[in-house]
Amino acid sequence: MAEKTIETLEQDLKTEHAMYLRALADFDNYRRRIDRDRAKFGTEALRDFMSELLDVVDDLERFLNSVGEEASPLIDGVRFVHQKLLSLLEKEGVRPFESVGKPFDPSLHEVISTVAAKDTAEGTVVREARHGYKFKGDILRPARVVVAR
Amino acid sequence: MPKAVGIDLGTTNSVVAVMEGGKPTVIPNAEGSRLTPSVVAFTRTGERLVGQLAKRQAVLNPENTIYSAKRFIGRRYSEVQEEIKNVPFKVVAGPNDAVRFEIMGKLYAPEEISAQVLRKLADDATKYLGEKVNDAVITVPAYFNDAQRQATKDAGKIAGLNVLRIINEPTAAALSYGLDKKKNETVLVFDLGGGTFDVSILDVGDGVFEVKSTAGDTHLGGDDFDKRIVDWVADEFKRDNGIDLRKDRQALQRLIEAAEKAKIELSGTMETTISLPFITADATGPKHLEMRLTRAKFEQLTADLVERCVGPFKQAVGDAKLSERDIDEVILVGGATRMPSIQTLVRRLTGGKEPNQSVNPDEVVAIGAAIQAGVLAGEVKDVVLLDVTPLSMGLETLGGVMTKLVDRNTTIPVRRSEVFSTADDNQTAVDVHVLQGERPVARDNRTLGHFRLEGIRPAPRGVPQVEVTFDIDANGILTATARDKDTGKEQKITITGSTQLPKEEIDRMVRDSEMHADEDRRRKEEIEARNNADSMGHQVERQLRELGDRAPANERARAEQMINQVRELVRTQSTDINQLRQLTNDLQQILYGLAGAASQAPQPETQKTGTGGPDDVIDADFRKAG
Repeated sequence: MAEKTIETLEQDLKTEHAMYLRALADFDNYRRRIDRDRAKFGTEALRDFMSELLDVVDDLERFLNSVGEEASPLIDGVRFVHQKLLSLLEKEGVRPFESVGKPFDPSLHEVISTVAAKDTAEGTVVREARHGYKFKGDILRPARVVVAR
Repeated sequence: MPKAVGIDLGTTNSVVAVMEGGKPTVIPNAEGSRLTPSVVAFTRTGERLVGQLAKRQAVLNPENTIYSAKRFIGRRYSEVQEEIKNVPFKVVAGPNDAVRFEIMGKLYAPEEISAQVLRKLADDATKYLGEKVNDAVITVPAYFNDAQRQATKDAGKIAGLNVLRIINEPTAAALSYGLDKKKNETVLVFDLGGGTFDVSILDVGDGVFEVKSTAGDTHLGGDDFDKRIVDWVADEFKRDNGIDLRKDRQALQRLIEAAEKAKIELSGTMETTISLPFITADATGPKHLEMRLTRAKFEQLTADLVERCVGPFKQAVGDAKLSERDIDEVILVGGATRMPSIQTLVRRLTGGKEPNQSVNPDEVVAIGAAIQAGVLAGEVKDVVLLDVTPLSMGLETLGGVMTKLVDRNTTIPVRRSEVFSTADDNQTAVDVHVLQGERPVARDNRTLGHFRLEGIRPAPRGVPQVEVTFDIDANGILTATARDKDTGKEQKITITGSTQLPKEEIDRMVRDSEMHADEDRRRKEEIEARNNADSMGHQVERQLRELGDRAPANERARAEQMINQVRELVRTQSTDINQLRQLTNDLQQILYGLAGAASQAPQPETQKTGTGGPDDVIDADFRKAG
């Protein structure tokens, strides 16, 4: 009789111990993930802000594109502002990347339209509607491109 | 240990969630997003893209980029003629009138396409968790028939998943709010997603779910609201500038993004600005778009879309043979339900019921599925669902403050210890007054119990070390122990039921502490100022005693006068913080001066002082014995 109880108790003990170890392990894994996430979280908020800021950089570039080579103290001033902004972003690890002439890559580009281009290989990026940017090597914002059909 | 996940396989976007330690969490995909577009693309180079990547090349490859597969899964070719008109990819009939997508000469069933999405979700989840994901609960609309459910299950199998169960989306939503644990209720689930609208009436409670009716509009969603803004802005611009922005791909893309952003902002503010400088150009130069959109205008532009929700609602209520008054709970699902106009409508339709929306409406279905997955995978059985202490617990210390030992909402079982000391010289017993609550002044909290530890060896105040331990077991039973580290003597008390306060009582106590936060802080500051002054007075007194004749007479006179002042202020419970702090500073100066005098002569071992001890020693106002 008592034998049976001891057996049951031993079994229970084994089960409880296993659950305890599992809980410890889960906790440990969770803690490791939290540490990993915490390192990412600060970056996450920064990424969102950077993306919004890039919209404004785009607008400045649109202005500069529309004045082309034209020079005047006013335009020069805006050019300097634009440069300053880009330098600030670069300091934080945000850099534009080149897309024109490269083969289309969905991890880097977003197709906005296609054009027939006789002297360009199909699937090559012909024009950028919007620059792509990377943040510390990871893609921050894909470039918006026009691709040769 | 393989994890079981819950998957919301949506028409436009999919979400995956998992149970961890009894709590559901949404898992971000490899791109870092909590939403994965339900899009699959086959590229000319033979690559298969899923999710955001597939979406990015859709314009380049429209015939081979499949989206909204959910509109085709489990259905017959003859049934989906209307849907085919809306998509650029080729849909053909397969064996037995089945639906097939023709992609680069090959035929794919919708389940194979959905399987790609499921596979990506599972793989990304595996990578994120660091554990293999194998088992899944997948959700489907409540109106899905057997063929559609089976096809969804097959999609899971093709993806290599063990489909534990297919559950209804409204049921999952109800699960995530824990409605199955309550008594029987009639629940309305209002699901307005990106492209579809579903209303369901459920009978929920005591672990049972029954779908009483469903209705909806398969082509009504948040996207339609975006489009209204786009059209309005484009029309206004055309009127002012003679250019239709919708004809320019780049301008249109910017416009669509800005419209979605504006819609989202208007859920929080009353007006927003759509700002698109250099949106286009003509012979006269660049053109800019700067327009103000008020919430009122937006609601006017979309009023008919909101009204389209009424019909299905009334139909669902009617089919369930109920009236609006019979609805006990309302759950909002889908990002579009964040719009104030939708929330107002829901309140109007349900007679003023406040909808449940504390769970993210984009994720609530996945979360419910994860909860179900946890139960089916036996995880919930293995993991003991842990309780928390609803209120902080601590003891009364010098000056009548409550020193917390266990913070509110700490998961139990838990054990916390701190070392305290005596308040008076030669104090031989301490009274431990166990408290529960959030207010800093002991008197304002709930007394759980009292006990006393005696036999402490006489010593100057602050010298004895009494370790107080609070041990709360899994059932919420508190054992408070006080142990004299010197003599080893110990006393304890066991208190039951301290975690079983009625919710109203807990809420009231927390609310009280928040309401009185300012005055409580002030009172605590006053108490601390008195304590510090008193303590400083004691130190100076001790120093004077040691120095005896070596203390300069005028210094002694000045010190004694200040010490008396402090005594008086403490006795009368003075609240003059400034005066107390000033006296404390002055006494400290005197102490330094006297210490200077003391160091000029051989001196006995200095006693350990109360304040300035190790961090965790707090002067405790334990009452004297006898």
